[in-house]
Amino acid sequence: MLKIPLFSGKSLGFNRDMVTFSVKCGSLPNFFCKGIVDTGCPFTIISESSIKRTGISYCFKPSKYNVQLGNINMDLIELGVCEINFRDENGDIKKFEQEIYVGIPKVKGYLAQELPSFIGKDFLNNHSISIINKKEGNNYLLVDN
Amino acid sequence: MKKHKFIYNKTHKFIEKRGGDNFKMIANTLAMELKSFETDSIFFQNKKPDLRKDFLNKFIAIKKKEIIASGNSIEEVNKILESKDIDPAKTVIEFVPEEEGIMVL
Repeated sequence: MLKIPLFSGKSLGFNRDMVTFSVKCGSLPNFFCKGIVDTGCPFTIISESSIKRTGISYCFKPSKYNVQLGNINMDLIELGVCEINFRDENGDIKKFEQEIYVGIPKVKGYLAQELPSFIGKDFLNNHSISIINKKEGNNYLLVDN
Repeated sequence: MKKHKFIYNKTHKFIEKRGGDNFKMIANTLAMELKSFETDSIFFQNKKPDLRKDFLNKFIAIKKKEIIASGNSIEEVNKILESKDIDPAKTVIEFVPEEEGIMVL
């Protein structure tokens, strides 16, 4: 069992359980993301604003799903199976492989600029990971080895 | 910033010389960089109300708890960072919005 610490961050108007991680797509260099851990989200999604910080071209790929986040319509573009790295409680790197999508909001505007990335239920299921909520805070992901 | 770049370059030269333990060394560097990214993300969350005074509706880049670039688009901020030899992919770049409404997920 190992623990990946979460932090509480304000996103979309409220404090959410968030985690930072790095993503490696194929032979491209790592890029860093901050995401909401959301059991209600069926996919692991990287925000368009995160992917814009990298040199990864994604626009030419077709949309695989169309989803609704609140009242925002988003296309999900398949980025493929990527390597995701987290930092555990001891400061060591824990590596996972996961199918990742890029979320492209169809509506442009200020709210679309702020859309976060999501660690979804697909990732939690695939790797037997649970969210542990502590009354005193310091929530974490518990990885069942 | 110069000191940070110096340490980064020194770390990478050290990795090149070592050979066998490279993977562990790279993992340690990645862990340190991720921790730094998280610290800057939390810094942004805590300072967001103050940042609205100067950077409302702009994108800002944060490194080591300092605003190192700002602009009207991510692409504009990326260019500024690249001109400073800083990797945007490993830098916190955030949009500074007006007060947000709560979205139920």
